Amino acid sequence: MSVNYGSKRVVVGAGYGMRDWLSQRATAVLMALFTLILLVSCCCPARWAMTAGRASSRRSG
Amino acid sequence: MAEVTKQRPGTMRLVDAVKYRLPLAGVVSILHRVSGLLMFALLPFVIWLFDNSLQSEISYETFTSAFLAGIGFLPAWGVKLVVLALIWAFLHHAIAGVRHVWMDMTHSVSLVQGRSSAIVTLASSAVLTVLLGAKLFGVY
Repeated sequence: MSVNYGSKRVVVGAGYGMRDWLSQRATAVLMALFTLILLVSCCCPARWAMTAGRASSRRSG
Repeated sequence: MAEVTKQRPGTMRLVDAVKYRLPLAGVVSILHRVSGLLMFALLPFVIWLFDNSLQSEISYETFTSAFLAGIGFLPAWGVKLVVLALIWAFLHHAIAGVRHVWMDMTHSVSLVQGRSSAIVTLASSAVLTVLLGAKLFGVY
Protein backbone atom coordinates (compact mmCIF):
# COMPACT_ATOMS: atom_id res chain seq x y z
CA MET A 1 0.00 0.00 0.00
CA SER A 2 1.21 3.52 -0.78
CA VAL A 3 2.32 5.87 1.95
CA ASN A 4 -0.67 7.42 3.68
CA TYR A 5 0.89 8.94 6.77
CA GLY A 6 2.80 12.13 7.57
CA SER A 7 2.23 14.79 4.92
CA LYS A 8 0.58 12.13 2.72
CA ARG A 9 -2.12 11.47 5.31
CA VAL A 10 -5.58 11.06 3.79
CA VAL A 11 -8.09 12.90 5.94
CA VAL A 12 -11.37 11.17 5.25
CA GLY A 13 -12.69 10.75 8.78
CA ALA A 14 -13.12 7.63 10.83
CA GLY A 15 -12.96 4.24 9.19
CA TYR A 16 -14.91 1.29 10.58
CA GLY A 17 -14.33 -1.18 7.79
CA MET A 18 -16.15 -2.19 4.62
CA ARG A 19 -18.89 -4.22 6.35
CA ASP A 20 -20.16 -1.38 8.57
CA TRP A 21 -19.85 1.16 5.79
CA LEU A 22 -21.74 -0.98 3.28
CA SER A 23 -24.55 -1.93 5.68
CA GLN A 24 -25.03 1.75 6.56
CA ARG A 25 -25.19 2.77 2.89
CA ALA A 26 -27.47 -0.12 1.92
CA THR A 27 -30.01 0.64 4.66
CA ALA A 28 -29.79 4.37 3.97
CA VAL A 29 -30.46 3.95 0.24
CA LEU A 30 -33.35 1.62 1.13
CA MET A 31 -34.89 4.29 3.37
CA ALA A 32 -34.37 6.97 0.72
CA LEU A 33 -36.07 4.78 -1.90
CA PHE A 34 -38.97 4.09 0.47
CA THR A 35 -39.39 7.84 0.97
CA LEU A 36 -39.38 8.46 -2.77
CA ILE A 37 -42.00 5.75 -3.42
CA LEU A 38 -44.12 7.12 -0.57
CA LEU A 39 -43.89 10.65 -1.97
CA VAL A 40 -44.82 9.48 -5.47
CA SER A 41 -47.75 7.47 -4.12
CA CYS A 42 -48.97 10.49 -2.15
CA CYS A 43 -48.46 13.01 -4.95
CA CYS A 44 -50.17 11.01 -7.70
CA PRO A 45 -52.77 8.83 -5.95
CA ALA A 46 -54.60 8.20 -9.23
CA ARG A 47 -51.61 6.53 -10.81
CA TRP A 48 -50.91 4.68 -7.59
CA ALA A 49 -54.49 3.40 -7.38
CA MET A 50 -54.04 1.44 -10.60
CA THR A 51 -51.32 -0.65 -9.04
CA ALA A 52 -52.29 -0.60 -5.39
CA GLY A 53 -56.03 -1.15 -5.74
CA ARG A 54 -58.71 0.87 -4.02
CA ALA A 55 -56.85 1.68 -0.82
CA SER A 56 -55.51 5.06 -1.87
CA SER A 57 -58.34 6.01 -4.23
CA ARG A 58 -60.68 5.96 -1.23
CA ARG A 59 -58.43 8.44 0.57
CA SER A 60 -58.16 10.79 -2.40
CA GLY A 61 -61.91 10.63 -3.14
CA MET B 1 8.86 22.85 33.35
CA ALA B 2 6.16 23.57 35.90
CA GLU B 3 5.16 26.69 33.93
CA VAL B 4 4.86 24.68 30.72
CA THR B 5 2.79 22.01 32.42
CA LYS B 6 0.41 24.64 33.75
CA GLN B 7 -0.12 26.14 30.30
CA ARG B 8 -1.08 22.86 28.67
CA PRO B 9 -4.76 22.90 27.78
CA GLY B 10 -5.57 19.39 29.00
CA THR B 11 -8.51 17.40 27.75
CA MET B 12 -10.88 19.21 25.46
CA ARG B 13 -14.30 19.72 26.93
CA LEU B 14 -17.49 20.60 25.10
CA VAL B 15 -17.14 24.27 26.12
CA ASP B 16 -13.71 24.32 24.45
CA ALA B 17 -14.96 22.50 21.37
CA VAL B 18 -17.75 24.99 20.66
CA LYS B 19 -15.20 27.84 20.51
CA TYR B 20 -13.97 26.54 17.14
CA ARG B 21 -15.67 28.00 14.11
CA LEU B 22 -16.64 25.06 11.94
CA PRO B 23 -16.42 25.14 8.14
CA LEU B 24 -19.80 24.74 6.40
CA ALA B 25 -19.12 21.05 5.74
CA GLY B 26 -18.54 20.72 9.48
CA VAL B 27 -21.83 22.47 10.22
CA VAL B 28 -23.62 20.01 7.93
CA SER B 29 -21.83 17.15 9.65
CA ILE B 30 -22.72 18.17 13.21
CA LEU B 31 -26.32 18.92 12.17
CA HIS B 32 -26.44 15.46 10.59
CA ARG B 33 -25.78 14.04 14.05
CA VAL B 34 -28.16 16.46 15.76
CA SER B 35 -30.97 15.66 13.31
CA GLY B 36 -30.38 11.92 13.65
CA LEU B 37 -30.46 12.15 17.44
CA LEU B 38 -33.62 14.28 17.32
CA MET B 39 -35.46 11.80 15.09
CA PHE B 40 -34.34 8.90 17.26
CA ALA B 41 -35.46 10.66 20.44
CA LEU B 42 -38.85 11.50 18.90
CA LEU B 43 -39.39 7.99 17.52
CA PRO B 44 -42.04 7.15 20.19
CA PHE B 45 -43.99 10.27 19.15
CA VAL B 46 -43.72 9.36 15.46
CA ILE B 47 -44.91 5.80 16.14
CA TRP B 48 -47.79 7.20 18.24
CA LEU B 49 -48.83 9.47 15.35
CA PHE B 50 -48.48 6.67 12.78
CA ASP B 51 -50.41 4.21 14.95
CA ASN B 52 -53.28 6.63 15.58
CA SER B 53 -53.44 7.66 11.93
CA LEU B 54 -54.07 4.05 10.84
CA GLN B 55 -55.68 2.05 13.64
CA SER B 56 -59.30 3.21 13.41
CA GLU B 57 -61.50 6.18 12.60
CA ILE B 58 -61.63 7.04 16.30
CA SER B 59 -57.85 6.95 16.63
CA TYR B 60 -57.63 9.06 13.48
CA GLU B 61 -59.69 11.66 15.36
CA THR B 62 -57.03 11.59 18.10
CA PHE B 63 -54.41 12.06 15.41
CA THR B 64 -56.10 15.12 13.88
CA SER B 65 -57.02 16.64 17.24
CA ALA B 66 -53.33 16.65 18.17
CA PHE B 67 -52.87 19.25 15.44
CA LEU B 68 -56.12 21.10 16.19
CA ALA B 69 -56.39 21.03 20.00
CA GLY B 70 -52.98 19.78 21.12
CA ILE B 71 -52.02 16.82 23.29
CA GLY B 72 -52.65 17.26 27.02
CA PHE B 73 -50.72 20.30 28.23
CA LEU B 74 -49.02 20.73 24.84
CA PRO B 75 -50.97 23.20 22.66
CA ALA B 76 -51.57 22.60 18.94
CA TRP B 77 -48.85 25.03 17.89
CA GLY B 78 -46.45 23.16 20.18
CA VAL B 79 -47.30 19.88 18.45
CA LYS B 80 -46.82 21.56 15.08
CA LEU B 81 -43.48 22.97 16.23
CA VAL B 82 -42.30 19.50 17.23
CA VAL B 83 -43.47 18.12 13.87
CA LEU B 84 -41.70 21.00 12.12
CA ALA B 85 -38.50 20.06 13.97
CA LEU B 86 -39.02 16.50 12.74
CA ILE B 87 -39.58 17.74 9.19
CA TRP B 88 -36.33 19.70 9.29
CA ALA B 89 -34.45 16.81 10.89
CA PHE B 90 -35.68 14.38 8.24
CA LEU B 91 -34.92 16.71 5.34
CA HIS B 92 -31.47 17.64 6.59
CA HIS B 93 -30.59 14.06 7.47
CA ALA B 94 -31.81 12.73 4.12
CA ILE B 95 -30.10 15.40 2.01
CA ALA B 96 -26.87 15.18 4.00
CA GLY B 97 -27.05 11.41 3.55
CA VAL B 98 -27.50 11.72 -0.21
CA ARG B 99 -24.52 14.11 -0.16
CA HIS B 100 -22.45 11.33 1.41
CA VAL B 101 -23.57 8.80 -1.19
CA TRP B 102 -22.76 11.31 -3.93
CA MET B 103 -19.30 11.90 -2.43
CA ASP B 104 -18.67 8.14 -2.32
CA MET B 105 -19.84 7.52 -5.86
CA THR B 106 -18.00 10.39 -7.53
CA HIS B 107 -15.05 10.76 -5.14
CA SER B 108 -16.03 14.40 -4.65
CA VAL B 109 -14.05 14.95 -1.48
CA SER B 110 -12.12 18.14 -2.17
CA LEU B 111 -12.51 21.16 0.11
CA VAL B 112 -14.23 23.19 -2.64
CA GLN B 113 -16.71 20.41 -3.46
CA GLY B 114 -17.32 19.82 0.23
CA ARG B 115 -18.13 23.47 0.76
CA SER B 116 -20.42 23.85 -2.25
CA SER B 117 -22.31 20.63 -1.51
CA ALA B 118 -22.65 21.77 2.11
CA ILE B 119 -24.22 25.02 0.92
CA VAL B 120 -26.63 23.07 -1.31
CA THR B 121 -27.52 20.78 1.60
CA LEU B 122 -28.16 23.61 4.07
CA ALA B 123 -30.06 25.74 1.57
CA SER B 124 -32.29 23.00 0.14
CA SER B 125 -33.19 21.59 3.56
CA ALA B 126 -33.97 25.11 4.83
CA VAL B 127 -36.13 26.01 1.81
CA LEU B 128 -38.06 22.73 1.93
CA THR B 129 -38.54 23.10 5.71
CA VAL B 130 -39.97 26.61 5.22
CA LEU B 131 -42.29 25.41 2.42
CA LEU B 132 -43.57 22.39 4.36
CA GLY B 133 -43.70 24.42 7.58
CA ALA B 134 -45.91 27.00 5.87
CA LYS B 135 -48.21 24.15 4.81
CA LEU B 136 -48.16 22.72 8.34
CA PHE B 137 -49.11 26.04 9.93
CA GLY B 138 -51.81 26.68 7.30
CA VAL B 139 -50.23 29.56 5.40
CA TYR B 140 -51.43 28.01 2.14
